Amino acid sequence: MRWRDRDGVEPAAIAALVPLEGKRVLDVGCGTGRLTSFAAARAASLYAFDPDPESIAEAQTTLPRDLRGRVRFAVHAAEALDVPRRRFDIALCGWSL
Amino acid sequence: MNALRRIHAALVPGGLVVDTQPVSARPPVCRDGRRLGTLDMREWIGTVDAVDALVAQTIDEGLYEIERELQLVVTDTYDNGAELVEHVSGWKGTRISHALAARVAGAAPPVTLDQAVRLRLLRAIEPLGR
Repeated sequence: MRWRDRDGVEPAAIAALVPLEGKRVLDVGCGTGRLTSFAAARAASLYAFDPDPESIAEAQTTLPRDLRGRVRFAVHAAEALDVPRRRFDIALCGWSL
Repeated sequence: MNALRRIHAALVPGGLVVDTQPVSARPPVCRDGRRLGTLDMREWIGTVDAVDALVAQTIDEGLYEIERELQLVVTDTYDNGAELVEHVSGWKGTRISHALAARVAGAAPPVTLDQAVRLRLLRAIEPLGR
């Protein structure tokens, strides 16, 4: 079993610098959802994407049920991001650029 | 196309990119606070340098400005040393020596990996002339 950042150092630092509450957030290269639950619990909406379909499937599975209505998942690379202009307030790039 | 240009187009003016990257060339693997050895992530640092070049390019283009930069230490904990070895062996640009792999696999759990992580905030700005 692996606990990544069990103390939540990274999300705590992000939350201290960037209030996500009520924001429209991009989760760029979300992987298996390392920051997805953290962001979804605060943001108004979240668009989470990653080029690896297996990672997206895991991110969907691990997202708490009560947050699922706020998150839209997609499978594509950041270079293929195709969303309306000026739609998001914050882009989270957690180990993904 | 540089992904940061795509992201810039998706952000409202003044929007933020929160960029985190592991930046240690030699992150330590520890057991009970004692260092068992370090991973070799020098090749990965080349990837970070390439990302930094892309970021610098978009700053030069007037798309972003760096608002804040700081470093954290993020610790991953494994209840099985062999799992740590297997996991990091799949990481891009990362090597673990045979000697360290054997030490880690044989260590009593838990074992930890401490990574220096750079957190950077980029503010999306409107390029002049648009």
